[in-house]
Amino acid sequence: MFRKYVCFFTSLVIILLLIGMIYYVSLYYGLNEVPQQIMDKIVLYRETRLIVALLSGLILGFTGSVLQSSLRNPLVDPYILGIGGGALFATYMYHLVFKITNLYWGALIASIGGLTALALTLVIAETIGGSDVAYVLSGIGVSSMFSGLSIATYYVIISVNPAASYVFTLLIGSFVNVTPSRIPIMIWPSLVLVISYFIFSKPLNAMVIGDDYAKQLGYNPRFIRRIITILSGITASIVVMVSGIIGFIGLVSPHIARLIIKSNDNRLVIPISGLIGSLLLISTDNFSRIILSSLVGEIPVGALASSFGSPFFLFLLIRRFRGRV
Amino acid sequence: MVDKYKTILITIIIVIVILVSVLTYFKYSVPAEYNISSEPTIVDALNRTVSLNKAPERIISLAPSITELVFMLGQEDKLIGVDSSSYNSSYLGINNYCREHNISDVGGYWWNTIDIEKIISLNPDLILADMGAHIKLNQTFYEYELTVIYLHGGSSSSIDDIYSDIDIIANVFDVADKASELKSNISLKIENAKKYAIENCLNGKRVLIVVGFYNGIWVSGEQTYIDDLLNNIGLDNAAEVTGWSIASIEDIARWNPDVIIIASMGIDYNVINESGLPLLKKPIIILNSTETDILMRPGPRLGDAALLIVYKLFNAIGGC
Amino acid sequence: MMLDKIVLDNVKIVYKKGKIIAIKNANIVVKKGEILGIIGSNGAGKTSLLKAIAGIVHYSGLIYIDGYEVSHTPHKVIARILSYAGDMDVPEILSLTVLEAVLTSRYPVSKGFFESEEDIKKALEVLETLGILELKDRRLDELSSGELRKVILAMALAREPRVILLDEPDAHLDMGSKIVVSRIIKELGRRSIVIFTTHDILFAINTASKVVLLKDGEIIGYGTVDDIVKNDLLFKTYNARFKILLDPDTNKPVPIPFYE
Repeated sequence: MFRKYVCFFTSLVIILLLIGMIYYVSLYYGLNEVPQQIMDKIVLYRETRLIVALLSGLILGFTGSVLQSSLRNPLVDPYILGIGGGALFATYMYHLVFKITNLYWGALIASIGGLTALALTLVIAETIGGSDVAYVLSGIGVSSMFSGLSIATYYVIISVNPAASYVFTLLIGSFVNVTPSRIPIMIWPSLVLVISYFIFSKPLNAMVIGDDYAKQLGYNPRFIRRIITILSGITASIVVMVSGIIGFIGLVSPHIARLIIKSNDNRLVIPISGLIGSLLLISTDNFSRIILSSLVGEIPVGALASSFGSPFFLFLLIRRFRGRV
Repeated sequence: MVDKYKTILITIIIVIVILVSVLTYFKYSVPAEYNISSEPTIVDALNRTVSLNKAPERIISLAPSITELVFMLGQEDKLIGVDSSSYNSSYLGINNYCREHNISDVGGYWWNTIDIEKIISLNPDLILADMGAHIKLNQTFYEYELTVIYLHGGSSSSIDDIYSDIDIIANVFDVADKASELKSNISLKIENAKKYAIENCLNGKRVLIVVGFYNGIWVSGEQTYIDDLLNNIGLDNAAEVTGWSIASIEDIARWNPDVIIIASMGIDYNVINESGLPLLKKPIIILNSTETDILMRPGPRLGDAALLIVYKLFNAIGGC
Repeated sequence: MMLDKIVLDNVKIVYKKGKIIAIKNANIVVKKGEILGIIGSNGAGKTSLLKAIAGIVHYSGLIYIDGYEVSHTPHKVIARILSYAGDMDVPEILSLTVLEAVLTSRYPVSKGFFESEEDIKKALEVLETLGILELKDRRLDELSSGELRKVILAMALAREPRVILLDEPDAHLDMGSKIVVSRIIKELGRRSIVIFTTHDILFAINTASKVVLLKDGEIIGYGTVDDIVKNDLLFKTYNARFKILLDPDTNKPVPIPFYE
């Protein structure tokens, strides 16, 4: 029993150390012959990128694990709520209607799109009963609908506005283009999530066992599920708005966390999952920035994260489940 | 009932918290005009008024057509960085020049593969960017205090757009005469192409320009600079669609082009056969990569593109 | 304050906006020291009745657990004095271990974010009592249905509630385990009020002090074991015929079903 706490603290320390090391090294690596005032700018650029990557990973890992427990489904990630497709569709529609687009309106519209899709998922799920399955089904329906619409809209855009073919790159997850002004917008959601962790992790342990079980324990699972959906949807929407759509992290970080601490106790899984998300994103972002950019140019972070994270994940999986599942 | 109110209350709290941070974000919005006190000031393709403190001596170009313009206007000595496509472009010996003069490759052409950090470390006075491909970097440049001027570049939808780009760059470096010269050169070539077309009874011919075979046949329709070019040469653009568009083989058959020009990188005969174009029994002209570049880069080579088209046409369907 | 009784007054339970009537009209009183067994055929409404008392399902009418009317009392308050143990659908990959699951049962009474020494001690005790201590680190999705049943029972007992509601606690259990469970319920009945449902008449008769016979949402029999074990009542409940014998040692009636 205590093994899980040992694993938890060990992993916590190791991950924090790793994050710290990577952070420090990547800030100052390779800055030899650069004049002072440019050095400040470069450090600012790197720091901004690191912080946004860190917070994005934290939010995605966090919301991923919370949603998996709340929806009792190990295969969901924040995009199950439809926010990715919704943001994409809204962005494309914006570029379809307006020939010259403003970036800030673009960001705002993306998040409105994401939140609208979220609201739709929520309402439909609650209408069909508000259970875990209800949310997953509703989410899949809404996501698919908006994804499909997005692709169709893209083709319409290209034919109407010849210069706008770049739109398909708009929401691909990337930290290359982050600016210092985006940091405050990520800090608040992160704080809200951390606070919610203390409130929801115990009820989630009960909800994983069953809604009826959680009810007789004194919780209100439908209400909790609703709040978690809203919270996760909003915070993940903000990540989409700032960094684009980054797959993989929200889905796999919770599983990596579970395999490392060898426990499913949400009080331990949720924070580790968030930190794993951070670790994955800053590692891959650094890899892209430091190594790849001089070879082939930067590669969007989602693709890299999958490429590196997956083998590690598969290794853990085989080690844990050899012969079972 | 208590539930519903609790839900609403919590949602409101979350939304307020998020709104606070969103508003902080918008506090940093890029103003439409910034600091126009000092001369010279340039109005770029996006109608932004940009002020340059002095004539720029360290410039970065982010698109091949822009790099070519810089070279044609004799300002290549000021380049300290170019995008990847420019870095590897053989036209005008740009690739060799870059390597010989230590000009850095800053990634790109698309915005999300541009190495911002490298650009920052090069400490440029001015960045010349493409308004279509690089608009997303606008705020980034602003927050890291990098001056940028946007040009039509690949988004040019007419010959005038390209001329406007020439003028903008000329204004930056105060080389109006070189610009005029360049523009007249281009106009002259286009005129010549037009004359050639008339002499050889090619005017009025319906030309279809195919630019790609991705998930269908992409053609250059109306309101593209190619369309404008064709019209100025006295040819007819067979594509009856707007912009860069996918057309079906039935559409193309209906449009009844006299000749089809394929301007796409890395196409082999299999792809062309599968598209069904040969079935139309019209002459098909396949451009090699150099020729494709000439046609597909809306830059100083526009005149060459005009001539290229009419020569190729003559070779394919002969004269009077 | 000791718990005196549970009263069901005119309780009606409907689902799907009235299309399904699970319980038509239930009037039951269970006093301290009594163990109530609810038997009936499948779909008779046993589980619904239990869930209503636990406050998990909506009902009309009144249910009093001592002074508290269930639908007007916050869930958290009820959770401290009552526990309901029904069937469990365990998700794969996400499931907790047995010990962790039993510890979640103590959430209403444990203070603090993490478990205290006392929580762990009580949890281990409960597992020991049910003879499943060696399963403590196994995951719920790795257990057999019999083992799971015992874990569910352990979870119901972990916080030592004054009212224990057990939905088919003997399901999936072999004979020996059934007897153990029966013994435990009788032991619990001395300190708490226990209400359980079951399919097994013998289990009910040998465990409960009072029995409710449920058919299609109606109570067709309610009383002591002697009152209930009558041919006509049993026939109405199960649509099956029984021979009723008298056990010479205990003087209790023993129903034996006709298999012809």
